[in-house]
Amino acid sequence: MTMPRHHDGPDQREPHQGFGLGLRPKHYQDFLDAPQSVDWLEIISENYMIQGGKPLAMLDAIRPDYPVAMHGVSMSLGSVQELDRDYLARLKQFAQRIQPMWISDHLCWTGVHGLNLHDLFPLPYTEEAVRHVVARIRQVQDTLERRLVIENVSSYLAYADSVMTEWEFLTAISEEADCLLLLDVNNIYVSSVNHGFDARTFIDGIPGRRVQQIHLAGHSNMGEYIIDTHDEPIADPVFDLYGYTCRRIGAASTMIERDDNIPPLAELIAELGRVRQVASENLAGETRRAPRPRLEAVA
Amino acid sequence: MTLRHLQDSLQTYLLGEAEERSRVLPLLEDGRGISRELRLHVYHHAYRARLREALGNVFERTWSYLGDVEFAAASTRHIEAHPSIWRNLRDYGADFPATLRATMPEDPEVAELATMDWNLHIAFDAPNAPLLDPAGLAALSEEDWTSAGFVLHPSVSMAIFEWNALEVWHAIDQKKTPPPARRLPQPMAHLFWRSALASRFRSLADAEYAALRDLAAGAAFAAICERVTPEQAGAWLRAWIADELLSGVVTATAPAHPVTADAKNI
Repeated sequence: MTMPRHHDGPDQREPHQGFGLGLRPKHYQDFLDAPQSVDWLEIISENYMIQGGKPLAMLDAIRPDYPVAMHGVSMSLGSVQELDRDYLARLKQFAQRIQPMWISDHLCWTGVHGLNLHDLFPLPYTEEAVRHVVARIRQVQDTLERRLVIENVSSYLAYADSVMTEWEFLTAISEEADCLLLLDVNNIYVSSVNHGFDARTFIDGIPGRRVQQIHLAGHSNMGEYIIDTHDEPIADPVFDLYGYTCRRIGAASTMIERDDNIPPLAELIAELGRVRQVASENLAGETRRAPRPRLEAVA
Repeated sequence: MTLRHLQDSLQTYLLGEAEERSRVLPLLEDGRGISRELRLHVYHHAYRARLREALGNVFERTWSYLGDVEFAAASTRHIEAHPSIWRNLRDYGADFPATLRATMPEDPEVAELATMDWNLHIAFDAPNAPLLDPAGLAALSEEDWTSAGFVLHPSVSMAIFEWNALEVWHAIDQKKTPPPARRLPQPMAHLFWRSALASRFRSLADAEYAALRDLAAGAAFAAICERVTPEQAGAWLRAWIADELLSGVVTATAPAHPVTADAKNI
C-alpha cells in the first residue's frame, strides 16, 4: 500500500473551540449554578442516548450555555460484526437533538457475536484492517451525514500480524476515509511506554490538519506498564507531549477526560488553566480563532 | 490470520475459555520486556474489573449487605456466566438478582435486596412520558368513566417480596446494622418509580397492588372501584397522580388519550 502524503493539503478542521471538560454527573449542579470557565463540554453519547430521567434533564438544562462534542464508546468501528444500523440511527437522532460540534468514537473493536467486552481493543495494523475500517467509517459518515472524528486508543498488546506503525495505520485510515482525528495525547504516551516507541514520532507521523480535537487525561503507572485510567491529574510527560503536539499541529480544541476519582469542578478548571497555559506557550504567533456562538436553545 | 479469526479467538479467551490461550498467544507479540502473557492478562483482568465495578455501582446496598468478599464472589459467578450484550455498562446486571436467587438459596433476602437495587436503578433513567393532569379528568363524561383506565408511567415497576428486604435496605441506607433476615407473615408487593427526577419506592397493601396490577393490564378504573369504597378509590387516584405514577387516561372512545401536564419527550 502506498501511504498517502498527508502533510500538504488544506486544513480540514472545524475552527478551534478552546478548552473543554467532560460533563460528569458530579458537576451537573456546578454548571447549573453559575457560568464556568469552560469553553465547551464533551458528553459520552451512550450515557445520554436514553429516553428520560435526570441525565437528559441535566443535559437539556446545561446544553444552551455550552457547545457540546459527542463522544461515543460503542460504535466498534473495527469489529468484524456488522455495524449496528439501529444504533447509528439513534445516534443521528440524538445528534439532531443535541446539535453537537462534532461526533467522535474510537479506532478499535469492542466485541463480536453481539457481545460487548466494554474495552477498546486495538486492531492489527494491516492492510485488511485499513480496508475494513475505511469502509465502515464511510458507511457511518454517509448515515450521519457528517464527518466522523476517530480517536487513537491506549493499547497494552501488539499483534504479530501488524505490518505498519499505529500512526501509519491512523493516517492511512483518516486519509482514505476522509475523516477527522481525535488525538488522545495521553493514549499516545501510554502506548509509547507500553510498546517502546517515541511518542513524538507518532505526533510527527499523523496528518495534523485532520486533528479536530485533543484529549488529555491521567494514567496509572503499574511499573512494567502504564494503564489509561483517567483517575489522576494529567502527568507531566503528557503535558510535555501536549506542548510538542501544539507546536507540530497548531491549535486544536482540547479537553480533559476524567472518569474516576473525580475531583471538585474547580480542581479540573484549575488543571484546564494549566492546559491553556501550555497551549499558549507552544502556539506562539498563532491567532486563536473565535469560538462559534453558543446556541440560544436546543431543539 | 484474518481479522475475524483474531477477534473471535481473543474474545473467546477473554470470556473465560482458558484453553483458547494457546491459540491467542501466537497472535500477539512480546515487546519492551513485557511478555504476551502479561499483556493479555491486562485485558483479561480489565474485563472482569469493569463488569464488577458496574455491578457494584448498581447493586450498592446488596454489596454493603454481603460485604466485599461475598459480593466479589457473587459478581464473579455472574460475570463468568453472563457476558454483556449492552452498549452501556449501566444496563448490565438485570439478571444479577436471578443469579443470587439461584446461587444463594439459603439467603433469599439477598436476591430481593438486589431486585430493589435494580428496580430503583432502572426507574432513574426510564423513558420520560407525559404526566396525567387531574384537570383533564374533569373533561371526561360519565360514559367515559365507565371504560376509563390509566396508563402507568414507564418508570413504574412492582415486585413481591417474601422477606424483609425493605427493612434491610433502609438500615443499610441509614448506615445502620441491618436487621436479621426475616420471612414476612405474608408476601408483600413493592412499588418502584421515578418522581421529580429521583427514584422512589414504597410497599403496597394487597388491595392497592391488585388495583395497580390490573390497571397495568388494561382494566377500567370503574372495575377497580367496585372492589373498594369510593373514598378509597378516590384517595388512591389522588395519590397516584400526586406521586407521578400515571401518564394518561384511556377510554373506549379515545384509546390513546393522554392528558398531559408535562410532555417532555425526546
